[in-house]
Amino acid sequence: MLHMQNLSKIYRTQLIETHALRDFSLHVNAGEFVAVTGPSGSGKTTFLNIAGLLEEHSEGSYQIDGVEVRGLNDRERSKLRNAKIGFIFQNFNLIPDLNLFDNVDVPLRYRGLASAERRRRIEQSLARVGLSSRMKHYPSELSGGQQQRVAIARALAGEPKLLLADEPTGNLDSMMARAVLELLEEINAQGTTVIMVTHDPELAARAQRNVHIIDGQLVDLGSEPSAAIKPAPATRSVAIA
Amino acid sequence: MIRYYAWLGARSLRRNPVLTALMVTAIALGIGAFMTLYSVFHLMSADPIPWKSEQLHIVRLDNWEADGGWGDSASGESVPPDQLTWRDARALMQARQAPLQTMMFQIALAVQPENAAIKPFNETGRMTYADFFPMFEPPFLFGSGWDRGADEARERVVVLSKAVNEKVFAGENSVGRSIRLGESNYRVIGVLDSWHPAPKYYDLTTGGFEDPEGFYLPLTINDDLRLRPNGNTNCFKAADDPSFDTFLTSECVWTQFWVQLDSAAERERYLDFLNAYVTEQKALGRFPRALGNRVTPVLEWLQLRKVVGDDVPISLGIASAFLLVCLLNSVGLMLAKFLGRAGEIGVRRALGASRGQVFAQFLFEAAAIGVAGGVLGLGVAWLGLAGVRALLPDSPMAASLDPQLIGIAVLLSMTASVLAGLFPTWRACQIAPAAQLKSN
Amino acid sequence: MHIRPIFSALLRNKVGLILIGLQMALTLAVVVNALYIIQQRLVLMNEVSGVDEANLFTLSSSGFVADFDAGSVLRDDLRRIRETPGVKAAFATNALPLAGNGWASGVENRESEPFVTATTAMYFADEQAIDTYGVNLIAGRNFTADEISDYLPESENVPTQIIITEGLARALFPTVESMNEIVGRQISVGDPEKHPLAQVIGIVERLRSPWRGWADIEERVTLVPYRMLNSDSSAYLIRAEPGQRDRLMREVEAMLIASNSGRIIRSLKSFSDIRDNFYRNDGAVSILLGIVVAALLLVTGLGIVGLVSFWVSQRIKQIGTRRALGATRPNILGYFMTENLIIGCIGAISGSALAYLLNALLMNQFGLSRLAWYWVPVGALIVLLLGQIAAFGPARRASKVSPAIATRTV
Repeated sequence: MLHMQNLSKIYRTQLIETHALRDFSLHVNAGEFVAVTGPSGSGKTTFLNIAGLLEEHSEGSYQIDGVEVRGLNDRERSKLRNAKIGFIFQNFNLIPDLNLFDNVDVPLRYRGLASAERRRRIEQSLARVGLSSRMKHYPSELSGGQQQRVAIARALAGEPKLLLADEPTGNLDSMMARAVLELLEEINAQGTTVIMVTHDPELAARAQRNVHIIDGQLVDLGSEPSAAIKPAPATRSVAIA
Repeated sequence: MIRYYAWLGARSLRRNPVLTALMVTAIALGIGAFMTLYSVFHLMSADPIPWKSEQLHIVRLDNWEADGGWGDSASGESVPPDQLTWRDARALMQARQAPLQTMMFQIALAVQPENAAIKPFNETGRMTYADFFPMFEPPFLFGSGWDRGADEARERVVVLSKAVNEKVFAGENSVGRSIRLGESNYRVIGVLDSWHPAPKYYDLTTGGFEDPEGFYLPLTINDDLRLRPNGNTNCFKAADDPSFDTFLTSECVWTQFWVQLDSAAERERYLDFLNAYVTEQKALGRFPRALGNRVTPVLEWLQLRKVVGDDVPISLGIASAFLLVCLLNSVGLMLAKFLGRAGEIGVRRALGASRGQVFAQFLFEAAAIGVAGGVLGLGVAWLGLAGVRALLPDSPMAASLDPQLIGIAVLLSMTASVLAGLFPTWRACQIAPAAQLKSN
Repeated sequence: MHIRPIFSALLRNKVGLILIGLQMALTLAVVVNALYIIQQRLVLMNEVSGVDEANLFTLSSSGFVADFDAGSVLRDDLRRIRETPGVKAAFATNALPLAGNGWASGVENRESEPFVTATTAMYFADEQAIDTYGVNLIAGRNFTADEISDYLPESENVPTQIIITEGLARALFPTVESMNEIVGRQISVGDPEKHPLAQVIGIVERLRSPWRGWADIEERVTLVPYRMLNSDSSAYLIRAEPGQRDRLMREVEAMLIASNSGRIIRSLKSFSDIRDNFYRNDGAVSILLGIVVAALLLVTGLGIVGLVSFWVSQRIKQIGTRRALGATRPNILGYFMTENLIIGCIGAISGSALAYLLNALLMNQFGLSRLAWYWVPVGALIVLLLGQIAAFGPARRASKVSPAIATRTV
């Protein structure tokens, strides 16, 4: 599904050259659930931007769903992004002046779908995340967890092949985080490839596959949780008689 | 605290010079345009004799023909002519029902200086009674006006304007000297100082803002001179014959009549007298219309006659609308400026600034913009008035920015800017500190 | 193009809408009316007075010596002036078109039932008047030299022959089509009880009366065959051959001064001076209002640039998000241009209403006439265009925002 080969991203200013990603190769197959971890400054965000076609890479090749990204102009990348990729952001990035219906509507408008088709998809999406009843409400009226679910609905409405999640639970409490994660797993189970960037090891452990980025380079931890990343032991409650 | 705000304000304005320049320029243009036209309007509509404008009244009698009045007022009732007939004016003078009173009209005579080097020239003058001088209070440079005795005696005396005195006598004290006007010689009894009442309220028939006359003669000598007036003459029917005597007794109106009445009671009394007089004349077959006599004080008279005209009020109105747009502009730009500093506000609030303190800081900044705009606006107004003077070179009104107008301009600008800044400042204060401190 | 969601978002954040919309509305109302006033004044300033303005000049003579013989001085002056090379025609008169002062009289057509009355300006004329004015005689004939009489102050002066303008002819004889049929008719000038009727011997095409702001009398002039001896003052109107006017002005003035020292020669001016003076205020108002209109458009334009830039900067995150969700650069540009257009339309509609209100106020208070139908729509289009041009810069900058903004957390 997503194939990066010897990718590098270099930021040049007048004084310094920064290699945000170097010789980066990653292959993700359709239907996988990948967690991407790494310390801050490691290049996670750069990877995400490039994966999501938000930025261009400097060298190497990147193919998404069989389409080589290099050489595409801004318009083509936007169209590709719209068609294939769904985004979920740490800060939800809902548009505050639009109600939930219109928020989910945004990517559909850019796809040029007819009004009836858009309405169908929006209603379906919102129903899937359990927020149909609040369709006319505004983001400010919702809790963090609900907002993220709307963002997920927005991402799904376009029926993307790939879902890119950037710290999707970063701003949520543990209960909401769990709910969101379950939703993501559900979506993955239904066939959508999910790549999730996170710094939370517990979250990463839930993913089917883990990759680690350090200093712009990839360390593939495979499908087994490393020893360093172990779920915390279950707590036992002791009854005191 | 004020000094701190001033320092903060200055720093903030300097940090974004483009925005600041836009704001100040917008206000300056608005204030400048407004003040230019307001100055002209102010000059044209000012009270020409503020210390007694309530006491001087113009007298009008409705001697017009039965079929149609002289004119119609806005409310539809008919308006009497603005001048009197000779016979009525003389009759009112003789009745002496007001403490100070005068009839008058404009004439034109050739001034012939004794000094052969100065060529004779035509000059407009005024025939009037002695009371003219205490009533309208023109300032004297030398000498004084004549007294009522001189009226009685028909003395050949003359009061000269400063300009005519300059021309004929090189500005010297010419009291006692002789000057030839028309076909007679006159003894100079007084010389006026510079006098430019704007508008020339005591006689609007030849234009509201003309220069005053070059000389003043006792009206009573016209019994001998038999000069025809040089102003407006209106007759609703032709005279029986064209002789001067018939002209004097005709229904043609051509002389102005003013009285000084010191209280409302006196005004009532005088009106009663006029009504009695007209009723008496009706018995002689004159005054066919219903009683329509008026005793009107100066300001009301100027308003009725629309001395200011249309051009200036229209222009002033449009300049006001322009100022309003400039202020709306300022509201928007200030909003942009203040809200753009949401981060700073958040920090300040977190560090302990109360809403009121943030409010004061930003309002101070708005006031500073207003003052800068006002000062620059004065420059624009100065240019504007220079332009007006260039466009209307013969206008006797040299409108300029006196200290009062300057004060108005800066105060207006500051007030307007603060008002414009109220909403943006209020919005800025609504910003919750917490929301601004978290990474966005 | 996505109008409904843009509109809904706009309504949630009304401040920008109100500020820009209100500015545009006020600008529209003021600009339309101000330009209309200017146009009306320009039309006024281009009015034709009927006379050969380029070649006419005037000067006055006022006698002051005791034994001043106005009659012989006038005859002598006219002879001298007419004999001066370069002078085409000249005559003595009491008043001039556009000069601001003059004589007026009531006239009556007593042949019709009921009588038709009108007010007319009266110009003293002789047999050279029509040539001096340079007006067209469209019916009848000119005065002959022996028909001109002296107008003396103390004698009965009753015109028996008159020449009138077409404007007066039509006013007095509204049912008559052809001017030729009006020649020969009789009308009463002044008091009908006192004066015998005057016969219309000729009709000229047009001649303006002296005054401003007296609408009915503008084209209604009567030429009476009198020499101006009413007082010791007289005005001469002189027509020069093309190109000779300025030279002749100096020459004739000097000649008249030299020929008689018992009088003052004054008020020498060309007809251009008279016209300039008559329309001076209109010119000044036009220029003043023109400057204000230009400044208004500038201020509003710059204000929109500033405000839209600001709203764009407030929504950087949103722009990034939209781009991330698939919006192209043109989509973003279109979004802001559309948003601005919606505001502009609201501003244009309310501004149009405001413009008509302002026009009504001006009509009421100042006698301005009603705006023709096309003024407001054209004005609205101009203001809309101004708004869009102003918004284009900031909107284009918005479209350049990188989609990577969406993933940033600062």
